[in-house]
Amino acid sequence: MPPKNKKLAQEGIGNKLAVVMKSGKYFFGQNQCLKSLRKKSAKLVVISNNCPPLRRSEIEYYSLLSGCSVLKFKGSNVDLGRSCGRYFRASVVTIIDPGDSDILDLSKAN
Amino acid sequence: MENNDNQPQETKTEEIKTEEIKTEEIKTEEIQEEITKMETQTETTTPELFEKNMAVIVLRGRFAGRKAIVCQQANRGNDKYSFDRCLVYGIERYPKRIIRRHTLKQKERKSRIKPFVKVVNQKHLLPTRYKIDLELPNDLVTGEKYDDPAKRKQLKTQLRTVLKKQFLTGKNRWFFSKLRF
Repeated sequence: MPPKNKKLAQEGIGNKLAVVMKSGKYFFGQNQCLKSLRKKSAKLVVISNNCPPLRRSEIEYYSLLSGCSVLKFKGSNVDLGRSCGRYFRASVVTIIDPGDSDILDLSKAN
Repeated sequence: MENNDNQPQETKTEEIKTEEIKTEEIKTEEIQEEITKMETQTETTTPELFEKNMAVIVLRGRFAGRKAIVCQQANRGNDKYSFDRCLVYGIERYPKRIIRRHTLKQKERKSRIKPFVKVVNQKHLLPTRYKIDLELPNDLVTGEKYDDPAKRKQLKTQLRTVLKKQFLTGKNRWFFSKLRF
C-alpha cells in the first residue's frame, strides 16, 4: 500500500514541523539557511520539491560540508509554508534547534 | 612570666600570616592556570566551515570567478571588519597553456602568474570540499602583512615567484587552471 504510507509519512513530517514551529528555532529562506550552514549551527534543512535546482544543489553542497542533514519535503513551497503554519511560500526551512520535536531522527533514518 | 606568655603568641600570629600569604599566592596561580586552560579550550571548540588550505571560489568583486586558497579564518568581532571573513590568496591572471613547441623565452612568459591576496567576506566565497596545500612557508601570507600596504605589495611579489615554481612542478593543476563558466 505505497500511496497510503506516503500520506502517513507526509502527515508525520507535517506534525513534526508543527512541533518545531512551536518549540524550536528555525529560519525561512535561502539567505538565512546559508548563514547558519556557514556557522555550522543548522541541524536540518528541509527543501521543497520545486526549489530551483541551482539553489537546491548549493544548499545540499553547503550542508554536506557542514555535516547538516537535508530533508526533501514531498510537496511544493506552498505546501511547506502551510505545513509551517505560514501564509507564505517557503522553499527552504532551516532547523537550528528542533525543540521537543524528533524530526532529526526522521532525516537520519532516511 | 608575662613576657614569656606574650612572645610565643606573637610568633604564632606571624607564622599564621606568612602561611596565609603563601596559600593566597598558590590560589592565584591555580586560578590563572585554570583561566588559561579555559581560554585555550574555548579557542579550539567551535569548528568552522572555512578551514586553512581549503580551495574556494570568489563569487563577487574584481576577483569573481577566481580560485583561491584560505589562509586564515576570522569571525566578526570588535575589530576592523564587521563580518565573518577569510584571508585568501589566489590567482588574478592565470598562466597560459604551454606547448612543447614553445621556446624557453615563450615558456617563461606564459608561465607568469599574477596573484592576489584579499580579505573576503565569507558570503562572497564558495567553499569546496577540496584542500590544496601548496607548501608555502607558514609566515608568507599573514594578516599583519596584509594590513600594511607596503608589505602587501612585497607579499604579492613573493607570491608571484612561489606560485610560478609550484605551477611549473605540474602538481595541483586544477588550481592553476581557469574556471570555465
